Parts: sequence; C-alpha cells; structure tokens
Amino acid sequence: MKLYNKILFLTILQLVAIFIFGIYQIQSLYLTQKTAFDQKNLIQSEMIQKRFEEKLDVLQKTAQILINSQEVITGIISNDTDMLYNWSKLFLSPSTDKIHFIDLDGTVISRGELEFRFADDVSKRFYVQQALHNDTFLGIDMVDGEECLVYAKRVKQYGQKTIGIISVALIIDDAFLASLVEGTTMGIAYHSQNQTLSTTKEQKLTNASSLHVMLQAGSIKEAGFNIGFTSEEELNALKEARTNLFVGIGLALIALVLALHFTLLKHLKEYKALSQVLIDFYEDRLDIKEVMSTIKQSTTEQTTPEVKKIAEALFNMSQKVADTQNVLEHLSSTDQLTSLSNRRRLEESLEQKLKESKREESFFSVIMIDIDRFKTINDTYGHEIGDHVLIHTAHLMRESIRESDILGRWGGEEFLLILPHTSLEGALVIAEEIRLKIYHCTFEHYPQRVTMSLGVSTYRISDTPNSILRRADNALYRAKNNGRNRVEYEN
Amino acid sequence: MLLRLVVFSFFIFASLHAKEYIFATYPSNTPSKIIQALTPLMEYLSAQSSDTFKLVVTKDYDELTKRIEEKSIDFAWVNTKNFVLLKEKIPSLQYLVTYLEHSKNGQITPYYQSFIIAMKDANITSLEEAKNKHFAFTDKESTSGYAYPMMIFEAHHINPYTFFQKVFFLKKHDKVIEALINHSIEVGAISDGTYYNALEKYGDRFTILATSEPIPLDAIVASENVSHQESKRIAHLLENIPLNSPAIKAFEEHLGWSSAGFVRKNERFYETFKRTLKVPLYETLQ
Repeated sequence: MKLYNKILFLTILQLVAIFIFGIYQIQSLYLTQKTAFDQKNLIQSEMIQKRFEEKLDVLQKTAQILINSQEVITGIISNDTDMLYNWSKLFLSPSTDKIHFIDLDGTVISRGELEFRFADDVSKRFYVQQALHNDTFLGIDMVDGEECLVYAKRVKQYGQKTIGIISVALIIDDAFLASLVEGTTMGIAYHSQNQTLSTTKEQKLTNASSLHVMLQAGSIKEAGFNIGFTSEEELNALKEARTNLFVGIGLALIALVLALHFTLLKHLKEYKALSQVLIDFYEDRLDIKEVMSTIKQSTTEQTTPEVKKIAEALFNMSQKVADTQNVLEHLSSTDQLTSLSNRRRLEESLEQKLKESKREESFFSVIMIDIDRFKTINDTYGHEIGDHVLIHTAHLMRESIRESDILGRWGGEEFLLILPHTSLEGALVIAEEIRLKIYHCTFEHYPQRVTMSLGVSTYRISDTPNSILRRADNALYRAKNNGRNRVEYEN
Repeated sequence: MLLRLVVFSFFIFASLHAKEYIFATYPSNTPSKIIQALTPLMEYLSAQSSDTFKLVVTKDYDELTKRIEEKSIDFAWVNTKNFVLLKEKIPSLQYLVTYLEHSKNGQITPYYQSFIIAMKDANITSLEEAKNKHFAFTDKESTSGYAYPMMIFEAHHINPYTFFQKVFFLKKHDKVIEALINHSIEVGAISDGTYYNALEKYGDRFTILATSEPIPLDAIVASENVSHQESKRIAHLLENIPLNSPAIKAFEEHLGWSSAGFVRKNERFYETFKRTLKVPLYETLQ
C-alpha cells in the first residue's frame, strides 16, 4: 500500500472513530435532554392540574366561609342585599369572579360583583336546581350568561334548615386559562358546545391530553379541558442542535480528509520527485549529471526544508559519484605509462571521427607512429630506459600537436595520432615535424639517437576504422622497409 | 360712684353665676366633621349666653342616652327617633328647638318626608299596582327609609312582606335609586332629599306612589341639669341665630346641610313618630 494511502487510511480511521464517539456523545446528551424535557412537561402538567384543583378548592372554601357566617345567614333571611354585598365583595378575587346569594325561590338576593343587580330569577339554572336537590353542585354551568366553574351549596340556618343558596363562580375565559398555565411552556384549551378557548391562539396543542377534573355533569355539553405543548420549539431546537452538530462534525471530517489529502499530495509530491530521479538513475534513464541537474531544478523556494535537506544530500552524493566516475573513466581511457589515451580510447575516438566525418562530410587524417628498433633499447639499456624513452617521446609528440588532435599509445612502442579536419598534406607536414623533433631530441638517460617511422592515411567516405588504420599501417610498413626514420603515406 | 359699684357688683354676680355646659351629640357622621360643624355653634352659644359650651361627641347613641340619664351632659343634639325614645325613657328631658332646613323643593321646613317611588318605565302609577313587584327599603333603623314608609303601608293596609314579591334592604337611600335605575327592583322607599337629588342626576324618570307624613328634623334637648328658664334662654338664642353666622355656614361646609337655623315647635310635633313605633314589624326572621 502506498504511503499516501496508508496515512490517509489511518487518519480517516481515527477521524471516523472520533466522529462516531462524537455522535454517541451528542445522542446521549440529546436523550438526557429529552428525558429532562419530558420530565419537565410532566411536572408542568401536574402543576396545571394542581392549580385547577386549587381554583376549585378556593371556590368551595369561599362558599364555606360565607355559609358559616351568621351575618350572611341573617342577610339571606332578611334579604339584606347591602350586607350580603358588603360581605361577598370582600371575597372576590382573581379566583372568585362571582358570588351570588339566592333564596329558595331562586331569586338572587345579592351579587358580590354587581352591587345593584339583584332580584332576578335564576331558579331554572342547572346549578341552582342541583344545589337545591343535592345540597351541592361543583361543575361547569352558565352564570349570568358566562360559562363558569360553579360551586353552589345550600345555606342552612342552625345547620339544619335550608334558607337559600350560595353560588361561587369563576369565569372560564382566556385570563382563567392563562392563570393555569402561567410560567409554564404548556398551553390549555377549553371546549364546550358554546365556545372554544385556548391559550395558544393559532397553534394547535401538541401531545394534548385531557385535564383530569372531578366535576359534576352540568348543563354545558361536551365541556372539557385539554393541556398540551404550545409548540415543540424547545424539542425542535434540541433536535436541530443535534443535527447541526452531526452535520458540523461530518463537514469537519470531510474538510480534514481533504486537507490531509492535499497536504499529503504537496509533501509527497516533492519526495516522489526525488525518488523518481533516483529510480530513473537506477534504470539508466538518467546519468549522474542529469540526476544532479534534475535535483537542482526540483528544489525551489517553496520546497519544504526537510525535502530541501534531502535534495542537498542527494545532490552532494551525486556529485561525489560523478567525480568518482570521471576518475574511473579517465583511468580506463589513459595509458598509465605515457598518460596518453590508451588503445580503447583511441578506437572510440576513431569511430566517433568516422561518424562525424560521414555526418558532417568533413575529413581527418591519422598517423601511425612506431619508434624504430625499440626492442634494442629495451634489450640494451633495460625496460626502465625503454619506458623513459616512451614517456619522453610521448611528451615531445604532445607538445608538437594541436589541442584538438588526439594522440594515444596504440600498443608497445606504437602511437596513433588522429588529426581532425586535416588533409593528407597537412598530416604529412605534422608527421615530418614530429619525426624531426624526435630525431633531434637528446634523451637524458639514453645516449643514442631515437628515430621513428610514421605512416599517414586520410579519411575516405567508405572508411571503417580498420580500413583507415590498415592504410596507415601499410604506409608505416613501407617507411620501415624504406630505411626507417621517415614518413610514408598511403597510396 | 354708685353706678360703678352697681356695674361691678353685676359683673361679680355674673362671673359667679357663669356656667360650663356640656353639649353632646352622637356620631351620625365622621366625628371630626361633626366637631368641625358644631364648634362654631358652641362658640355662638358661649358668646351669646356668657356661659361656656363644651362639645362632646359620644361613642354612640347608647352612651348619649346613658349620659343624659346620668346627667353628665346638659344639652344634646338628637334625631327624631332618639328624641322620641329618650323622651319616653326620660320624661324630664326638655325640648328646646328643631333644626330647620332649606328643602330641595325651595321651602324652609323643620321636617322632611319619605316617598315610595317607582320607575316610570315600570308603568306603576299607584301603590296598589306595585303588588308582586320587587321592593327595597334602606334599613330597618332608618326613619325615612323604613319607619315612615311602613306607616304609609299601614295606612294602605299593606303588609309589604306579602304584598311585594320580594323585599330587600339596601342600607342607603342612594342605593335604592341605583337599584331602581338598574331595574333590580321596581319600587323603593327613600327620603325626599334623595328623590330630588335623583331628579337632578337622572331626570324625571320616577313616579311618586306615596308620600309620608312630615318627619320632624333633629331636635336640641336639655337634660334635667338645666333649669327650665335657662333652657328657654338657650332655645331663644338658637331660634335667633343669624342665617349668615359662622355656625350656620359650618353645617353647609362640613356636613352639606342646607341649614336655615332652628325653630321652636310644640313637642307634639314629634308625636307622629311615636306612631311609627306602633306599626307592625311584620317580623321576617323566622
């Protein structure tokens, strides 16, 4: 597996693990919050239930307090409207909207909420009839044209004789409903055959359930209270937060993977370029100098410091390899004794010149040189002197030739001189100059005169290395046969 | 020299005989208002009689009665009912004067009246037509709101508790008017002053079904402490109180009474009230 894939895979693996852990944590938090939310709603439902029961309790207690008052009993017996009004108005409150005193005929003696409205007949009202027949009534009924929670009870003199009725009522209106759900996040709705009220004006209650109220059946049909959530905003906000976190983590994961991908690409690209140079070098697509130039080109200002250091190291290493290669190449193409090109090098040069001449339609000449009677020098004065003659002769010849000319030791006491862009005539001049220079030279450790025979040949279009060398060699042979110490040229 | 001696002797004599009288009343209104309303009268009497009149507001009517019996007060301002009851209880009680008032109908009278009224839109033109209607008194303790209306019913041989469908008690005269206006009741008993105020406030929307006999206004009485001659002297001073005096103005200012001074009537003037005490109570408490 590639390094890129490995890094990417391992990183994604870690990120996915973090992502899964994050999702687990968020989901756990969501469930905890959801449980708390449900618990809160349950508590709120119970609170609303309790408030409703308290409202009923207030109605009953208010009625009971007034019933126990001797002044109220006296007021009912004597139709003392004013006294009953003064008593009942003290008990009016947000939980008690109406207090009525009614005689046994169903005539209102006094209203706590309306001082000057009394004497009307309410005997046909359901709650009045129920209280007269059953002693008490606790339920929903119409009181003065308004739907109310009503508690009606007989008023008894000395606890025995019924003298009238007291009715304590709370109007079922928006304010009443609002007071039940005040401070909660829940809503309440009241529905009857006459009206529909709700604390949530336009929205429907969600997860609505009936309020458990212990009321007697009244004259109002289908009356009931429902409580529910005004909206699921809180829960929705929770869900939305969860979704946002999921999406956020997901996007972060994608962004991280992309960032990682591009970072890896950027860094690995530099490493890859360097390694490709090495691979190309190994597979002979590049030589060492090309390797060096490629490395040099691949390092720019944007290159990371780590890659720069590696590139420098590789460059230096290549430099050393190149130097070593040069030394080896020099050694492999140089004659150790005379420091001239050796025969292999001469053959390569000759071949190259033939190619150049064919390609460029140029010309060149070669001179085959042989030291006369060199065996005698060796035999007479020893190999050490012989080597000295060879070294010194080579030195003298090198001094006599041009920079572009190629001089090498062909073998033993034979030398080959390749003269680029030189005609036969020019080659003959050069050959004569060399012959004379050697002839007139005095050797330090060899007292005899040294002479050499030279055979000259020049390039022909159909030449091969062997053919041109053969002609030069033939010329040399003739020079030997014609008395040595002379220059001969091809026929 | 002799004249000087006579004047000096008279001064000494007068100083020796100058008295301090206790003038009491009960709290028919806020005590502070009563004190403010009656203090100028005390000053007037003190100045005119050369005696000192000290005002006392008792805790209630019972205390006033008790103190008259104990002779710890000399003069008292009492209402009609109090006067009649006190006179029956303390025969030695001396009547001095009756309070006079500018009536709403423009007359100056020592009395007022009780009306039985109905709303005009109820189409009731006589007491007999009010049968089985809803009726309201003010209070059983009220003279014009209960006692005299009961005399009217007695005269018409009517037991209101059976004649009317329902009889209510509304405490105050104004509340009877409001109950009529709100059509809670069709018929009610009120004082003439309340009626005239209602006329101003609501216009001519009421029918007077019956009118009571004159109800004497409040009286000023003297206890046994005060000599007959002295009581006459004080009564005379009260009768002659100027209508522009601070004492008269104080009634208007602090109690809203349109006072016209005092007049000395015959004690029999209060006899009519005695008859109210004989009217059947038609006890409703069972």
